[in-house]
Amino acid sequence: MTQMHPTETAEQHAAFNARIARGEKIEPGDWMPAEYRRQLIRMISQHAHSEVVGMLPEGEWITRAPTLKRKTILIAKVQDEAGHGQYLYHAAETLGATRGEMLDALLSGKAKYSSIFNYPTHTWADVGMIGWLVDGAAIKNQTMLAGCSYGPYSRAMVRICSEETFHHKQGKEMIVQYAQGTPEQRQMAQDALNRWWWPALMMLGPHDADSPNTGALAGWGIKLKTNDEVRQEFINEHAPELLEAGLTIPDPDLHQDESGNWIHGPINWDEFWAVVKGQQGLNKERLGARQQAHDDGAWVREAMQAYAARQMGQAAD
Amino acid sequence: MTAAMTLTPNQTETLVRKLTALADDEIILAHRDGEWTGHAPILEEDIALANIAQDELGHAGMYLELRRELDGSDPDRLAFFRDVDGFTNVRLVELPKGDWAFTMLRQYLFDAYEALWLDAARASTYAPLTEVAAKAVREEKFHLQHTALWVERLALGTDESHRRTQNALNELWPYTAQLFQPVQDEEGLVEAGILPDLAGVRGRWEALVVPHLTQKCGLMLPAASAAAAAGRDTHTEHLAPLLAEMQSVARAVPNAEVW
Amino acid sequence: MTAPAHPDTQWPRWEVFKQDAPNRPYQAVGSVHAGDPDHALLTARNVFVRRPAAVSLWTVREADILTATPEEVEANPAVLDTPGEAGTYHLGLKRTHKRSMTFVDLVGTLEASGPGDALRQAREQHPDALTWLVFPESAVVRTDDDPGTVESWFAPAKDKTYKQQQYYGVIGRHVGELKREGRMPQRVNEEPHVGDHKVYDHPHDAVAKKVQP
Repeated sequence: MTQMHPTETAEQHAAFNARIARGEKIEPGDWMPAEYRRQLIRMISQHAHSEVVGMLPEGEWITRAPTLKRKTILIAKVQDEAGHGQYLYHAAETLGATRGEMLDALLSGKAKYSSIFNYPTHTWADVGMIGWLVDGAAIKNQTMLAGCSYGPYSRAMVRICSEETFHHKQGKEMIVQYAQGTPEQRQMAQDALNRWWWPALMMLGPHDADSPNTGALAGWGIKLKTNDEVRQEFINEHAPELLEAGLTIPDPDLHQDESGNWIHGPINWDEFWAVVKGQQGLNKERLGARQQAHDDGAWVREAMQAYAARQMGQAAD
Repeated sequence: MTAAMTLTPNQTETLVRKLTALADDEIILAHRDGEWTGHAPILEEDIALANIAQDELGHAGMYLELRRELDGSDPDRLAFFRDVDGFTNVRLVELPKGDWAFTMLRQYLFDAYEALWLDAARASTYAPLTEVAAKAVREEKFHLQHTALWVERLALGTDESHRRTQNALNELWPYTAQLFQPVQDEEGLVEAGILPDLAGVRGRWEALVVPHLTQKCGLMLPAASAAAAAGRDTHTEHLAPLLAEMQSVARAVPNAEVW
Repeated sequence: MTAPAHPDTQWPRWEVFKQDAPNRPYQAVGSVHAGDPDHALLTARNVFVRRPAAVSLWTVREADILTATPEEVEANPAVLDTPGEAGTYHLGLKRTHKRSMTFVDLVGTLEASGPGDALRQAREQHPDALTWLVFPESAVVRTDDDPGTVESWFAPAKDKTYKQQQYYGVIGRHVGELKREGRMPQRVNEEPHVGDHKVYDHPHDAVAKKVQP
């Protein structure tokens, strides 16, 4: 049973649910339950914030990329993250949220973003490992969301997935090369895996039993798979590939079961929640960097607005 | 398309010098632009400036590939293993990124110069350069539209944005003269039609940027100074820390075969 | 027009219509935030032409666009009287409930006395459409179609092959390949190694000992 707003009728809900059941896409302007709209805005803006904050950990390495090609690729990748944030804010805007409000919610700490971006990047190899694992995990989630019932979100996801594939591959290319490189490079790659493996598993969300929103979101065709299903897909693809690259996965319990699934050992959820709540990790620093860019840019945005206002005034004369 | 031409040893040496100078300008400017990625005033401009930075790095790569054809040098070795004394970028591009007005104005001044230089280089008798110029000039024309638009809006926006843009111009203008300073023996390559004449490029550049800055944007040109007197081997105090950061990963594993 | 009570720090929003190839319809692909018409168009190029898939772009300020679904017109018929300037209007239609990479395709123009009238005509001409979208020709900012613009706005993305996943080819082993060859690793971490070398003490050794009975 989904939540019903006082002004909504059972008939409206039944018709809407029938549309979802038929696999129809909901578009801006179509009738939708208030709770559907609210959940989507929450989810999409959180996703947009993750892209925007996600520029920071890797962005720190643009000035240190070790070749001209890697530097170009990294700028293009971080540029894509900005672009993905941009697509996603647009999708939320079609539901009536404004970007100003959404950014306020991010900067005030009211809105969440993916806690994976609160982990520090220690070496250049982290850039590769983020591409391979973090973007690899993100793609699994985004591929699922590309099939979701809300048209603008689904469209954004299709675009984002096709661009993320580049992120994933450039990261994998780096790590596979470093795993066969000099001793320093190998060490760097292994260290990066040690630090990013568990956060990558955790970023796909709490176990299904502890995921309060999953039921309603699944009913409305927003979330088509559970966190644990997506996590399993991710591990099944990445575990054998990492091993083949010659790296060691930091999970002594990891094994393949009879059905072929790779089963991971217990996840340290205390760490996950500590990072989500900002008790651990770089939450303050990340939001501080976003706030600083926002504040430093205020006079620029005002100048553009003043110019535009004058131009419109002249046009009206 | 000009048939492959034979360069004299002196011409080769000069062309290597010039290509390196062109590439160094792009590498250092792209580095400064790259510092903004994730920190721009609005999301759309993160994307825009990242586009410019990628293009400039691409141009650096093309110039260094031309150099590789001449002397076999490795572009990444040049970019990541030369010290401050070996870099030959103009001082304009190594200045810290400053505020958005400083970044946009510097990029505008440089884009205008580069677009006009490349436009002239399309007529080079050295076919490999002609090809590179034809490719790169398309991107520079787009940058120039973007940065000219921003300079105008900042100069005419608010009192604060006008003040910041004027300050940026006061600081940057004296450094622009160096863009038109030839490298050693460059005149020989100009006579051979291999390189554009910088005096001609400068004339076109002034005809483009001076009216834009003064008439359209209402900015005051500061008096030119003698800042251009020193050559490309002289740098401000800002280049050394930039290189220390830029080269830190590459130099930590100097024997890496691949990155 | 009065200023909103809480001015948005993010500038106005402009809808972006992109044409992927000559003779293809312009499609509503998203929006950008920008200060003014020229800035909106440049911004649209930066956001939507990072990869090669465009030959022309239009931007239209959100406030100049009127859209309605059949349900909305039924619930609020006054939308058909929305006042505004007379002239040529562009018409966009949404025609499917299936997943689509556009909200609407632009299908043509009509002459109308205002946006409401344009919507009324759109509804008469295309009664089966799922959404009608109209905006006046005067509100369109578009890229020039001269070769110079196409060369500097749209062609360079083709050379940025490093943004395409194909650029990276086959890296390492893909899980599918390992399966087909029967080389899928079965057990892990017997001996921490990188390639053939033991270079790292197992990071979870301590944990592993703890969980063993």
